Amino acid sequence: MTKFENNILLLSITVCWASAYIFVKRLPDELSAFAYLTLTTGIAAALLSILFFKQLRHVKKSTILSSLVLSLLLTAILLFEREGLKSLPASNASFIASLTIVTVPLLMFLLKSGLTLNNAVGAVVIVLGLCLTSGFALSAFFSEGTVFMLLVCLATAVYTIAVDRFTKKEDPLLLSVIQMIFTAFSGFVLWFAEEPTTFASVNYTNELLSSIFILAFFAKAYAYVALMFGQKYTDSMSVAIIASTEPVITLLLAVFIPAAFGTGERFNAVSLSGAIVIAMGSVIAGSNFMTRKKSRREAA
Amino acid sequence: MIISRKKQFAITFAAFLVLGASFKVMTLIEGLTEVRPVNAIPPVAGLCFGPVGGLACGIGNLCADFFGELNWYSLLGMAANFIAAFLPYRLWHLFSNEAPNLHTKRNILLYLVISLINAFTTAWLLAFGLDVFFGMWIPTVYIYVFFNNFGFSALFGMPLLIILTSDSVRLQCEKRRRYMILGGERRMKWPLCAVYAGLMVTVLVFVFLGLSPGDAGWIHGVSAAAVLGLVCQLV
Repeated sequence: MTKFENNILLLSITVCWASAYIFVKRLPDELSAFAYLTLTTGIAAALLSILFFKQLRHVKKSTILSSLVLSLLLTAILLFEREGLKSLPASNASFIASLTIVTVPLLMFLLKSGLTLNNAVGAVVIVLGLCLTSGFALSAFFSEGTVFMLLVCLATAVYTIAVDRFTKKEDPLLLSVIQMIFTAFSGFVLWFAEEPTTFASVNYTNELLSSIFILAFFAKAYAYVALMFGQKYTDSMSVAIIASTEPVITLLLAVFIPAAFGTGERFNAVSLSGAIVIAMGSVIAGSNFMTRKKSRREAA
Repeated sequence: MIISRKKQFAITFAAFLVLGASFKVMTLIEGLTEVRPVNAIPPVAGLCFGPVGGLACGIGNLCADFFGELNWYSLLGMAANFIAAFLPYRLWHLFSNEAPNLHTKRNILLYLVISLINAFTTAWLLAFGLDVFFGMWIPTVYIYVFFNNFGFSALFGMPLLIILTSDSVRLQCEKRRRYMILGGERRMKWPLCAVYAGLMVTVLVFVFLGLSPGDAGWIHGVSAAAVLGLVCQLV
């Protein structure tokens, strides 16, 4: 897979996750986060298992272990996010969650895995853009929700770097299928602890089923398979950079399909300038002109 | 990875049916069209599985209509979805000697151009088919179908093809088939396809100018010429 193909793949995942908002919004409020996780990952796991049944028969022990670690990280992210959202406004929570663009390079730096000057400068510019698009309230940060959202951010960075490591050694397809199975299972255990009647407690309407199926296909099955494939051929920083363009894509979607997003308030001069700054930051972080300049100076 | 024809049909059919049915709730025009990410499937199914992929898309679309509104227009939808898969397959092999893949920028461009021509064709077939066979001229059908087809083919079709043709999957795509009309005259492909694209752009301009076939009957002449062009590419 070429770098260009890879970037297309990663960008399509960001589009999936940005547009998932439309369908998550259509879910009834009484559907718990664990029910959502179980249903979406369960359908995705079933679908992927049927499609790749043949490959699943040749799974290695190391792939199962790696998938288990990834699914535990995913579940932890969901749990922290749930706690964080209890005491933080959505805009503040979303801002802190998007700080993954800082935690990924920071972790990479600590792990000494090839962070460039462009990556670091680009990450700072992207954070500035995120400050503009999120529209958070500074005072609302002083709560325990901030700690939980920072944990989300850290866990996401660990997940990104772990996927990067695992996909280099394991089959990305099997990794994503087994990860999905484990996540569905852990989601079910949590759902059962919260609501013992689990599946029987849900009021199945056409709209709910439709949204669940769509989220299972795009935000789970497709996005995770594509993510594993994408990361096999690139590094964690590229993934974090492309993922950070999510507010830009959300903004574009809100402009093109405003009815699906419900309000026009998402699009204003401040959010537009934020989106431009994020896009600029992504270009800086994704290119290597600063590193080239530095090495040319050193050579001279 | 080699997939038998039966499996090719089953996979494409199931994906088309489930996705098509899921999005029935996002209706744009009651009984006619909705937001359709499923439109990412036909070009990829066609490029990978050829006519089998086309057949699965056509029948899958017909069956998905059971979950929305099944009517006589569904037959038109079935034909349009078959062509939406089969045309990319024929066009790709007409302009490339490689098996379908997006490893080079030239191939990506080719895929995008084919998707564009495909979106033009599907939108024209459905909008003008409704007019000719059912006496219903609904320009928004053309606009929605065009954007659904091109948007989703580029947005999801392209990454899907990238995964299927990656080193890890290496899907064995359907081989080139003989071109009955263009077979001996391969150099004719450029002028023929250019004229066809020109006709499709004329239809697009016609719709966007707000004209209707009732007021401007000449568009039926353009449509008839486009049918000939389409047949030359498909057969």
